[in-house]
Amino acid sequence: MAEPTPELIQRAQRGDPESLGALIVGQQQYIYSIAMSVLRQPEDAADLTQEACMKLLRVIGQYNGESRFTTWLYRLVVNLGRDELRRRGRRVPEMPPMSDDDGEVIDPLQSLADDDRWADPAAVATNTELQGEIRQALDSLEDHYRLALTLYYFEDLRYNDIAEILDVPLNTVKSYIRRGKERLATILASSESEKIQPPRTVAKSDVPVSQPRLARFAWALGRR
Amino acid sequence: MEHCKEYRTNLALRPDGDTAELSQHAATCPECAKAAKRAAAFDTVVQSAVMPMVPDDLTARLLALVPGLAQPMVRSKRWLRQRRAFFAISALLSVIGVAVLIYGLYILGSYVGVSEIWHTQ
Ligand SMILES: [Zn+2]
Repeated sequence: MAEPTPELIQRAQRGDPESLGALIVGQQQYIYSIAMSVLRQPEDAADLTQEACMKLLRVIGQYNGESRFTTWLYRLVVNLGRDELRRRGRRVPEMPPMSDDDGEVIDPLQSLADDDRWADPAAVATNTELQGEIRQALDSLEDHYRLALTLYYFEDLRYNDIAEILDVPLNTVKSYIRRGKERLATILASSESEKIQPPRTVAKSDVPVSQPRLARFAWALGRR
Repeated sequence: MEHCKEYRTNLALRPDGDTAELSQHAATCPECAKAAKRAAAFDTVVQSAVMPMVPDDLTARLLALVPGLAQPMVRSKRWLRQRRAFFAISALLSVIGVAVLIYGLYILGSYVGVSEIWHTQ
């Protein structure tokens, strides 16, 4: 359970060093994961985690219990990450509104159906090749999907917590999760097929081979 | 089957909306059972990828930020390795030292004739 007890939070708010230390140790994995999702580089993520903890120490007194503590904290981390991207002159991920009621996506992992490596949940945990492929695919996943999926896999967070952290409507969050999984599966499936088939010769236009599959996302990608 | 669409749709999200009827569906539908395994495998791998290991030295760096906290609570793995190596080498040197000392006493003893005294007793 990532959510600290109210007693621990109160002691930390009174400035008790041991409680502040326990709070930081308990949250570092989550803060670092958000930082990695936003900045993609371990050193940058470590720096952002440190910055987030410094800020936490400064503003913990302002936490008033309106949201869950973790929701409040992760929102702070996401916003710090966005500030950092702005400072570096990098694009801050947009959070395009999406609705989940179109029913278009039935099984987002359909594109992995022919890949036997995904058939056994027990075997994947030790499959380092697959883990490497996932990390690469995550790198090319759109930022809003990656961030939403990261928070989703924290498990402790409910959909409305994620909505509050990302500052988007609840339906958009569900849509990000489903479509993010679908998109990630598509990237994985296309990288796998590239390995099996020799790379095609470069077409007249410089459009990547996987582009037609992404046509549905063109509106989201077109703003880049 | 009538439940396939609903079941697959729920697989992608947390099973908030799962009814008992729906969770039993996979037991009777091989295609959905396969999809459920695939979803579980996917979730396992993606979860570990989006929650990478925190770097060795980061915890110590973070705890150093807390005013008044006794330092250092956490040692890096490198520090632990170095300490282990130090103890191993110390132990080895001690054994050699003791051996040399015993041998030295034995030599000394034979010069001053301690062994003869022992023999005459
Ligand atoms: Zn079915």
